[in-house]
Amino acid sequence: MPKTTETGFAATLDAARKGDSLAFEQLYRSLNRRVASFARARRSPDPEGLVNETFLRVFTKLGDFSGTEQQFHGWVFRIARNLLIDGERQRARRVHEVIESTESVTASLEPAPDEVAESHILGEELLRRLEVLTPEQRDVVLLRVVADQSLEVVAESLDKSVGSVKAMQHRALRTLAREISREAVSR
Amino acid sequence: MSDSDVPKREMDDNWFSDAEAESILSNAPSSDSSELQQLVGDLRDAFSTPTDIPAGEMLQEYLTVIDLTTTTGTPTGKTRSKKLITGLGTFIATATGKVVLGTAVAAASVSGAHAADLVDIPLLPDNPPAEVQEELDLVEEELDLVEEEVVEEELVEDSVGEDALEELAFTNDEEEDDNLADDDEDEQQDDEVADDEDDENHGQVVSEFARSTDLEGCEKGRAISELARSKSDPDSDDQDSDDPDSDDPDSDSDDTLSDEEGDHHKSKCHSSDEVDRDDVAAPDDDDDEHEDGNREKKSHDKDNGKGKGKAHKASDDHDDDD
Repeated sequence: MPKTTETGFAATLDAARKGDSLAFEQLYRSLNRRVASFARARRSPDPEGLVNETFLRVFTKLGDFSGTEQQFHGWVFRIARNLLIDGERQRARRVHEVIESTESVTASLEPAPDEVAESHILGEELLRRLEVLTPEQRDVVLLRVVADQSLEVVAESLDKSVGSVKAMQHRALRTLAREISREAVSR
Repeated sequence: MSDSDVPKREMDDNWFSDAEAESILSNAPSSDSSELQQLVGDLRDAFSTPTDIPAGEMLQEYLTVIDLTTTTGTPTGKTRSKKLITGLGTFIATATGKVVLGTAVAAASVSGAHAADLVDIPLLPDNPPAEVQEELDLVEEELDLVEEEVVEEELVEDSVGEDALEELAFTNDEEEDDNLADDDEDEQQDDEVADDEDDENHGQVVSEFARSTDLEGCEKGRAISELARSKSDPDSDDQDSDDPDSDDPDSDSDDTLSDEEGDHHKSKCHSSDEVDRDDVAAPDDDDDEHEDGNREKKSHDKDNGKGKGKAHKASDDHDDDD
């Protein structure tokens, strides 16, 4: 991976503001895969497109941002989350989009068809188990687990305090544990 | 406190401690919530992305890797050409850009004319490079009207000589197009065409002179006649002085005036002829010396059918000379 001549996130951010392609690339490579994972867990019909759109907006408005690396990560995921919400609202208006989104999720997986089907089924089953959570609790869990982000970053992404995010996190885990116990009892 | 914030009583009901929650979410081994931890682990594995997402075309402009030896950090390669073309379009929109564009179009048109063998410009390559040709095509598409006007002007100036330019000054656009061919055979045909056109133009010149001149009477008629003769008979001036046939009262060949104008001048000269005749008749001694100078006047007067006295006197003089 190419490295900028100066170390530190601040230096990278400053270089990116000045148009340094290497700095842009470093910022992109640090988060693009995690944003894609979060987008796929949110059932985005085009995770790669969402990643590109997210970073286009990030790089376009980079001059308006100032803060730490955690704040930067939070800002990136906030943009990605807002794009996902906008996309979901548009799809909700069209009934037939549900089927197309399922097909496009399948098409977005590059491995062999058998592997795609298996992982797709497993992923869908896992996501179905998260449906017992509220949308914000679900996002907290996904951002913490799938995107591997800290509490501070999740708080920045959801525009909430760290305490609120921690509480939502607790509530989500409790709900999931309760649901797992109920399923175990029902078997 | 917002609606989404967790109430304090709920926060006290610790199902999981912070450490336990963090261990679950980080997939750390724990004996208390194995199934929950298994669920979290499955989620992480199912939606992980092992490779970088390829950047789209627009994002590539930010991520183009530059040569580390450069210091500006400006993206290179395709981005520059795209920005150049975009910037070119913006420049063309300005007034300055259009002036430069017109010059460039003229140059492009001339080069195109050169390539089409319409003109021959030394040292100019017949086949410009593809990149140059693409740029020229873009420029030509922007101002088609300007290009047409410039092409006409440039081709006329390059392919037509000075003499032909004078002729073309009296022709319309269609005749100018006919004269653009530069072959030898075409040149001969053009000369013939020019001769025919000259006849019409000469008539226009004579008419214009007749209407605009300040001369009156015989002088006007004479001047018009001379002007008319200058085209039909290039040697008419000499003929007037040396050719005895020109004194023939029956000769009408030299008179190219229209009947109306001729009659008008004839009558006019005739009405004022007595005054002129008196002036001319008095100094008989000077006739021989001024014979050449008066011969023209006399012959003209005679041809126009002026007073018999005048004619007779002129004819008598000629008889004496013979």
